[in-house]
Amino acid sequence: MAAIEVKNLSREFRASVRHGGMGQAARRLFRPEYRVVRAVEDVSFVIEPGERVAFIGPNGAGKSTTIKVLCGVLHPSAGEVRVAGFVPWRERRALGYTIGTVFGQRSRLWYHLPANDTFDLLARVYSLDNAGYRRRRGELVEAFAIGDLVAKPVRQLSLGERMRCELVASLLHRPGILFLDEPTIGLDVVAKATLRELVHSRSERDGTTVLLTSHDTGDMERVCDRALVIHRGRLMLDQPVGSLRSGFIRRKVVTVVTAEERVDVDLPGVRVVGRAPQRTVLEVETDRTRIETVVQAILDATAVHDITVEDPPLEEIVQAIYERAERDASPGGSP
Amino acid sequence: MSARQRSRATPAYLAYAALGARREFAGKATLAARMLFVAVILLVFSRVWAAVLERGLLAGRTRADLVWYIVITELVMLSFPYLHLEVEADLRSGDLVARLPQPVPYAAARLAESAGGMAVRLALLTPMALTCGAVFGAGVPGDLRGVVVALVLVFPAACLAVLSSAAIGLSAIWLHDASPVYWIWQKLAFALGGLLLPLEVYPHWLAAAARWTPFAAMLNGPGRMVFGLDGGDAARVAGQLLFWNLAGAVFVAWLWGRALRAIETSGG
Repeated sequence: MAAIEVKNLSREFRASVRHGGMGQAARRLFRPEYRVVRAVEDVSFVIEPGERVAFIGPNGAGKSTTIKVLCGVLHPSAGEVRVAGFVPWRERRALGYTIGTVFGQRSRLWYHLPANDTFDLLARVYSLDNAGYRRRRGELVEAFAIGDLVAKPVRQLSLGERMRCELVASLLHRPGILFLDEPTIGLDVVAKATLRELVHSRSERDGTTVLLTSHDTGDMERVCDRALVIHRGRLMLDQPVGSLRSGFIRRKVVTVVTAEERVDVDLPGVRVVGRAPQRTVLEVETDRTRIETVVQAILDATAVHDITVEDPPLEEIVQAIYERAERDASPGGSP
Repeated sequence: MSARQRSRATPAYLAYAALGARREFAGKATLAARMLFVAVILLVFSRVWAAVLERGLLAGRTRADLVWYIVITELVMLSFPYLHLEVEADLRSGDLVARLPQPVPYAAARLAESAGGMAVRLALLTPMALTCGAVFGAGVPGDLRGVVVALVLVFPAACLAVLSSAAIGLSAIWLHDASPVYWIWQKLAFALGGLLLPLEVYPHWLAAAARWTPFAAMLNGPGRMVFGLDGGDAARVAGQLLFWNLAGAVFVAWLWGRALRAIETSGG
């Protein structure tokens, strides 16, 4: 059985129309006008148990709407959804025992009480037996290095510390599926890295399925194996994170440190994008000139102290995906 | 809810109540301020009633009667946690949506938590209020049994206040701001419940009308027990409180169902 099965999921909202002056506003009091907003349109995907999947897209793409439907918080307008075998909006309470949720800007911890108090409460909420709960809490507290935090009132914790406690709270009942909605939002670089590592390692250890939404491609890169890209409510892409680079962008960046002041390479699809004394940065369109050809040309032209060949940052790749989606969606866009 | 779900949920609700109690203890300063407020309000009104009675007003009632009446009504009003503020904050922050996927219904969990907080407040405020009543009321009332019965009735009265607060909080789903509703409820409780002045001294028609409202059962009902125990009246007040609590619970459950549907439609 798949962990998550989504078939032709659509969700529409009715939004009130606001335009015009005072007269229009007064008229709308009696005859309100609405327009239909399609937040999610005909989205289908299957996630197998143990997979770690990133659900990425720009603001308003439909990520959170989809996650809410999957958690049973929101009813879909159309389509079929099964999470751990449950229809979320019909069996939310039963589903609750099998999923864990972390909503980045929202909290399940009691602000004025230590996180331990929330953990004790959740043990009762999820009907955990005492010995099992204590063992699980001890294991997670050690893994997440929150031993000295759990006795402090949550209001005294930093955001990074609080998010680690939120994650522990969501994992106490050993959920088979973990939904993470923007879990690293607002965190500093170190806290982000810690959280990503923890999510990845716990998922590997417990075999937890992870569905993560984020704006941050670092979350996708460090935590997930597969990416679903959603744009304007439609699923644009579903492929392994590793193949996003090779499959989507035919471009590499070559940085050369040379003995001579500069190096020039005159090949099709190669352009200089940065230059400093003894250092040249080239951008290569690999479908016009192979990267081996470029490297050979550099070696023929000058003595090389160092050379690195890199993919462009993942942000650029995702940006390119969004741009292509925009082009495809616009009238007269590419088919 | 199935029998299995109910048996799973009971310890959870007790845990929510325990958490609510711990929350009250965590806010020590607030608790202290609340206790001080009880003392101040009773001191002020003991003086006001002394002045009123010196002018021969409110014939038939002693200063002790009136101070003890306020001891009971203020206990009700100060012992219920402001659940509407919590619900409104959860709605605004989106924390409500974060808690919905849990297997325990949000509204019931919040009510259980409030009940725990209310128990702590009652346990701490009651000795304080009784002491102040004895000191500022210039002694104990003639019939102590009435005070005992009044204290027993304070609990269901405070439960009714918690249910009212829950309903007010849930109204924020449609109104976005529950404060105006709370102000109206509070003013109605003051006026129709007889928070400071027993309904017995109201004009007859107004007292008769007020007695049809839950406010009178919540405040005047337990409060008037201190004037002297009347078994029939105590049973009537207990029955009224039971009725209004049941009606309140049904109303909150209905409102929560509507609220949940609104959230499931809009996504919170």
